[in-house]
Amino acid sequence: MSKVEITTQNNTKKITLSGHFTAMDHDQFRAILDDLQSGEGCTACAVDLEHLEFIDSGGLGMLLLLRDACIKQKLALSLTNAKGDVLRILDIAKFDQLFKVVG
Amino acid sequence: MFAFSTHAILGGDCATQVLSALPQTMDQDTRFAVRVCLHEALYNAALHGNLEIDDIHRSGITKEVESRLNNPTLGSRPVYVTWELMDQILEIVVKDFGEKPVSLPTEDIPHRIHGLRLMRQLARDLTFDPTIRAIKMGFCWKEAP
Repeated sequence: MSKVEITTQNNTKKITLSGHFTAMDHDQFRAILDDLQSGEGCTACAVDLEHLEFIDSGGLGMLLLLRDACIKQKLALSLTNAKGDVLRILDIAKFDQLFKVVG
Repeated sequence: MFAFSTHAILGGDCATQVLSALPQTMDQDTRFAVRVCLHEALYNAALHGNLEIDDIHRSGITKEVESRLNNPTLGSRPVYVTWELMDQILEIVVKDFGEKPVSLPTEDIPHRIHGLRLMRQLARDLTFDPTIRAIKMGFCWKEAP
């Protein structure tokens, strides 16, 4: 399972994922989506993938749920620091067409 | 042949265990494709096959999975993995033991990235036989330089 952390820096919600982000992390990630709704004053949300080792279709689906939540909250969303297999999976899923992917 | 418990698949990295048993001469692209496809096939077999869960994106799904894992009938079902390397084609078969009829999704559903869509892009060929509840994946075998 993945370790999911959320912090607020300046006006940005930062979500840090590490380990393996899979369907089994769904409930944990739902709590993050709920937390986003309390982000008054925030203008952006950045998902840091630097320490994420693997993501599956379930994890990709959760990022799509996050995208919808950010659109609803008018937050600019970006995926940052993806590398290795995670970056390849994002490419295969064509997430660069749906998200701002920052190296 | 590997026989994994449903619990082991959802709690560990069984795809890597299978990978470690394959000839270690495969190139990195093949290894990546096999790893991703194996993971998706194993999770599909465990969640949709053995535990008979339709939608993994609904609220409370983690507790639902735990509950079904503790169900003596559902939780004790294994997943079998077999592989064969022949004529530069690696064939992997993943079989579950669920009883609810299953079929491959035919259209995309919002908020769901079907594992099958990823698998189709990475595997050479992919077939699912619902009568024996087995998915067969073929990969072009490339040796590392």
